[in-house]
Amino acid sequence: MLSATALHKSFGSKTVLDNVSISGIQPGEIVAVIGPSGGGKSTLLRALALVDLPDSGTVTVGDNSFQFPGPGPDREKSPWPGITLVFQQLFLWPHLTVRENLELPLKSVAPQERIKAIIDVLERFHIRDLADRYPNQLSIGQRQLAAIARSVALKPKYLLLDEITSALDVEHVQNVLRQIKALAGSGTAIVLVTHMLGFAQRAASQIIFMESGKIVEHGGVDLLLDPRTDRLRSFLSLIDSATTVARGEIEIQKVLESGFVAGAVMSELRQGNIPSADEAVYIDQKWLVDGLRARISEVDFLWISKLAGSKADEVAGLACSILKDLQKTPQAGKMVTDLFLAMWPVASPYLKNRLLWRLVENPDVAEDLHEEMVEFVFSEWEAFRNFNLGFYGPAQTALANVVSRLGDAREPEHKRWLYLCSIPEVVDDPDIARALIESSGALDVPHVREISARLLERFWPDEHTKPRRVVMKDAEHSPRFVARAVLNSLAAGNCLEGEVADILNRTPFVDSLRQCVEVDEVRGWILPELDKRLDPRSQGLLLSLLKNYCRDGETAKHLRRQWETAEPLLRAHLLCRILDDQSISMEWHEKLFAFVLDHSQEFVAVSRLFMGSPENAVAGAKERFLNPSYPASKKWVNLCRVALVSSDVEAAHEYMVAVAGSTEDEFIGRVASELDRRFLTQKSSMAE
Amino acid sequence: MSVFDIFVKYRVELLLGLGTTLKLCLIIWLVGILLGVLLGVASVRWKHAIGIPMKFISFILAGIPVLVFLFWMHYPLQSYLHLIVDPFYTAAATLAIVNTLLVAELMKNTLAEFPQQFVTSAIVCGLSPYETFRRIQFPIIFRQVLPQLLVIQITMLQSTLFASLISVDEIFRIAQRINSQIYRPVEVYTALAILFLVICLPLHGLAYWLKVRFTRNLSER
Repeated sequence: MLSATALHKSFGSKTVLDNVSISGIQPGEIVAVIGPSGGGKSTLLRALALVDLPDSGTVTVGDNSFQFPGPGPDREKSPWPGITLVFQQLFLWPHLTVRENLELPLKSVAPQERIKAIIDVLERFHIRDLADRYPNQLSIGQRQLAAIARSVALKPKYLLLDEITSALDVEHVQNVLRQIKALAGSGTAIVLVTHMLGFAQRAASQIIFMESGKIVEHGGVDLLLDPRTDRLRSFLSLIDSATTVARGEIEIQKVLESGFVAGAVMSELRQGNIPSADEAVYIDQKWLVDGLRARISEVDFLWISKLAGSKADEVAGLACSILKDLQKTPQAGKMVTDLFLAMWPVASPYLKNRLLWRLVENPDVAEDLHEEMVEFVFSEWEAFRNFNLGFYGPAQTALANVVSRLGDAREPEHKRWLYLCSIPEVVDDPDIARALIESSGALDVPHVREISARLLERFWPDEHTKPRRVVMKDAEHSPRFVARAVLNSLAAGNCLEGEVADILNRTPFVDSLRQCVEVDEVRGWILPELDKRLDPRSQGLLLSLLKNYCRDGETAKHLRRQWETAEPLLRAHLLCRILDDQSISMEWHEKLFAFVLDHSQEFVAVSRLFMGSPENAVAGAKERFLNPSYPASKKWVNLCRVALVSSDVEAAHEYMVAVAGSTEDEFIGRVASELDRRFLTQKSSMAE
Repeated sequence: MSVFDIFVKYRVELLLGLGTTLKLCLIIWLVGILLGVLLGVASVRWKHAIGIPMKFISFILAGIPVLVFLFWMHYPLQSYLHLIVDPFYTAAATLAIVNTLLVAELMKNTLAEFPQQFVTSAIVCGLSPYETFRRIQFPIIFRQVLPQLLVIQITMLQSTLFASLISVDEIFRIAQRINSQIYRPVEVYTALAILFLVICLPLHGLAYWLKVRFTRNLSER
């Protein structure tokens, strides 16, 4: 665990760390520190790394606490490289090649192992070709990769990264992100300072916002979308892409928090609709099943027990999962446990794995059943392993999951042996796994001591044997049941409005919705709902559902009729749907282009909704414009996006001039010239 | 008498003078480099106790020409202390002091300007203090110091000429004597220049080779 308490540091009269405290950062956790320059981020990192000692406060690295004012760590018994830091300025040793830079700190490692480790890390960061170059023969981006590689090769327990991706291209940032996550997956706690909010959002589980030496906000990654303080809000607003990079799962979460999806799925299940096996796997994801658990009560027990009786193990497993919270209630707890006990003797190994996690929740379960469960785990180890690898999720969180549960006083004691059994399979590093099992063996908890001994005997029969981790493929899953449930709910007149409609509209889940729309639904409820609703964003979502049917003559006519009365924001949504009809007349093209010229603001808003930051939107638009398989009728819209969304006026101007000068399509040429004349030429010359 | 004739006729005297010069040089180099490095390190380590006094002495000596310093060491100091020291050792000591202070100053400046971040990165990579010194500090400092150190040593070699003024029979004094006998200053001092070239050119070559070999430009793009 890495933590800091009441850190204070000043340079003369300037306070750079002002009572900064960070609660224990656990193995496998990634924390991102963001904030304006000069806010104390790098100083905090250096204080945590114990290279720039704070004036006062305490830094705890693992079992060692360092109190300040005080002498700091002794280099002979140092906390390094257990904790290590990649500096913003990198500090590669200039007289050594990249290979030697990596090699030197690993001098104590056996030569064969050292060479293997170095080659491995060079390959992981795609810099093997640069191994024999000196730092000054590399670009800054390559130096950044080499510096990260040097630290990663040390396999630290705590890795601190200061602006390590500032000079990397997108591809390398992605790779660094992968490597960092993999490192976290093997149990390394990581603290990174970054200005790239997208990187922070994708990498971290916690965000710390610092300013003027203080922690202003500290929380989950949703802080990037929902800042609690005006200061963070204002900071994020300065970074244009902040709202677009922090999309993805957080946004899906917002839709889920609205309860719409879980409510829709619950409604389907209550009506007795039973999902298929792959659909059940999709529903059984934490983000959705938590919503279902929160909505059920004992009156739902009947239909859930029907699910539990399904012949498909995945469906019965979903029932076990949904019943988790109900099992803990005084009203239904016994009823649920009895159901699980009845299922146990006849269950398949897969289902037994689901059941045993539920059964151990109950402290009243008989001791002989406990023994039976233990025997089941050891005799059906493969099934137990496969289930656990799925349950504990990606490698980066597996260790943290196990450790936090093992040590969590709120977890029932009689359940701990089960977490212990998970360790050999879910913890990447066999040495860490062994140490965890050995240390857990000392716990005075039912079953733990003998399970610990059995695990050691099974997986580490001698000093040289180390278990190999099995990498599992994700189980087959289908979003169809959930998508159908959402469509049915929309068809029933339930409404998603405002921001939530927008968010759902831009998540990949909307593709699943489109694929589930049947032809008779278009005129059955989607077009009528479209006419009925007043919120353009809600209408925008419905229009998205129509995408595959806009070439149909009647639907196309309906949309064109709607255009005549629609307000500008809805027109911006309608534009592309009308253009999906490739037979549309030139008169309509002219009319739609005139709309873009007159209502560029609405056009940009909708373009940004679907295409993200200006950079993404422009890159995507250019790609579509040049893509020969992209519908020709919609190509000019992408020119409009390049011209109106781009923040680089000069580049957009040049693009328009190039298109106007090279295209053989008279309309496209005119669009390019007009966009350039109306929006770019003047600004471009002003910029010059 | 040509230069060649001088080399042939006075070869024994010239070689003896050259031997004395080289012996003097060896003492100056060894003492100067060893003490200079130690003093330089000490002046950084104990800035107040050693660094400031050393700076003061260097400052004073920088204002005194080597020749004057040598004379002062040879006559007034010995007279004041009632000592008579062989001029060779007087010259050796004087020039060794100058060399020591020059080397110490060079070391001090190099150490003071050493980029501490490389030590910090060694610390966080878990290198021991000894490893850090041996593999990081020493090689970088060595590369930085080497060219200037060689230039100083060549200058010291040339400074040995001053020893002739206090009657040390080094090569310049031998040349003066030969000139007083044959009164052919152009040829004699040309022969002397050639001899110095013979010694200094390889040294310059060595300095250049070491510079090329070890002092790669480390600055980053």
